[in-house]
Parts: sequence; structure tokens; C-alpha cells
Amino acid sequence: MGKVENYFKILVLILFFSFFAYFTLFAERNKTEKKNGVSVEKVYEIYKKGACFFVDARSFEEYRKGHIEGAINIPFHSDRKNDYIVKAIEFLNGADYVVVYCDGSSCGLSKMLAKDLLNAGVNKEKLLIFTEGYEVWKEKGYPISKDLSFQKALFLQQEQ
Amino acid sequence: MPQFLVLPFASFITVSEIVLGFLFLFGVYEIETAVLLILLNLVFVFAMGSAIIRGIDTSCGCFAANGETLSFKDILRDLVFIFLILWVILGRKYGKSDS
Repeated sequence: MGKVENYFKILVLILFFSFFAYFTLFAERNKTEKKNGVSVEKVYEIYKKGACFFVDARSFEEYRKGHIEGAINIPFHSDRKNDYIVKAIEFLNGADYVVVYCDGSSCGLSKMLAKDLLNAGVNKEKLLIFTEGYEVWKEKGYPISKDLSFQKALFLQQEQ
Repeated sequence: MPQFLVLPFASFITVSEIVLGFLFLFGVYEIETAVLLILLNLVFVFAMGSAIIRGIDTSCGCFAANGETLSFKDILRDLVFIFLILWVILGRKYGKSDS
């Protein structure tokens, strides 16, 4: 099974490079969040003012379990993602803000969906990425919902 | 996992894979590297199996970019890796003893 001292040497090597990786990633994440992300307090202020659309990038199953009140779901991994975006684009551009979110800062779906929304024509100035995500919103006790009627009305109505 | 541990843990796991991979490739500390790689793959197998059984949505994080959620083929892939590591080690061991 090998020598204990060799395991120790390998572990030290891994920890050494891990520190570099961690501090590089940490610095990069802070920079990215400051550049693109919006804090939960700012998002809540926007929510209270109204005239905004929240877009949930998670799967429909996660959305159904609970989402920010009033949010619509455009699951990033759905085969119909582009259909949803096309159907929602008019509504999204009519709002003052479009806030995209997913689970939290360790989830990249909101950033990827935001890119797709930009490519589809959502105004860059209106688009905000709520990096802290649904979990932080829920922890703060801000309004959440399990209601699917708005989602169904928005996309089903467009299909008729 | 608590949010504050995600980044350090991700750094550690990613670096472990890279460091162990290179050490194994160049035959440095062969047995120890092989054991650690097998353990790492076993941890992945158990973690993925647990996520699949519990129905956890993994469309975020590590698997977000490729657009696929976890399935048993990911577990099978890691089992194949374990088999290949054992094959290389046994090959090196019996290859050396033959010469």
C-alpha cells in the first residue's frame, strides 16, 4: 500500500497547489460578483418597486418546489429553452429590470441564461444577475411562492 | 455542504485530480498515487450514486456547463477509471518483475 511518508509528501503538494487555486478562484469570484452580481438587498429593493421580471434558471422541478414570488421559469437545460425565451422576450423588454437567478453563487446557470437572454435581445442595462440566488433570498425570509399559474398563463397563452 | 466550504473543497478536489494525474502519468510514487486515485474515484462514485438515488438536481455546479444531469453512465465511467488504474499498476508491477 506504499509508504506513509510518500502519502504525506503527496498531500503537502496537493495542499500547496490548492491554496494557490483557492486564492485565485476567490479573487476571481469577488471580482466577477462585484462586476456583474447584485446583492440580495438591492434585488429586494427592485422587487418592492415592481416593474421587474424575475427569471428562474433552475429546472422546473426546483422551480416548482419554490421560487421567488412572481418569477417565471426558463430552465437553462430544457430542450425548449429557446422557445421560452422567444415567448418571454416581449414581456422581459417591457420591464424596468430583468433579474436572473438560480441556486446561488456556486451555480452558474443564471450567468449562462443571462448570456442567452442578451443574445436574444434583452437590453443589457436592464439585465441583472442575482448571484446570491434563491437560497439566500429564502434565508432572508423574502417572499417566495410555489404558484405555477403565472408561468402556465404566460407560456400557455402564447401557444394558443 | 455549507456555502463557505464549497470553494475550498472545489479547489482541493480539482487540484488533487490534476496533481495525482500527473504523478501517476510520470510514475512518481506509483503505489501511493494509485491508491489515492482509486479512493478519489470511489468517493465520486458514492457521491454520484447518492445524488442519483436521492433525486438531487445536479444541473448546477460541476455539471452545469455540459447540459447533462447525472446518470449511471457517469458512475460506470469512474469504475472504468478504477479498473484502468489497477491495470496500469499491475502491468507496471509484473512488467518490472518479468525483466
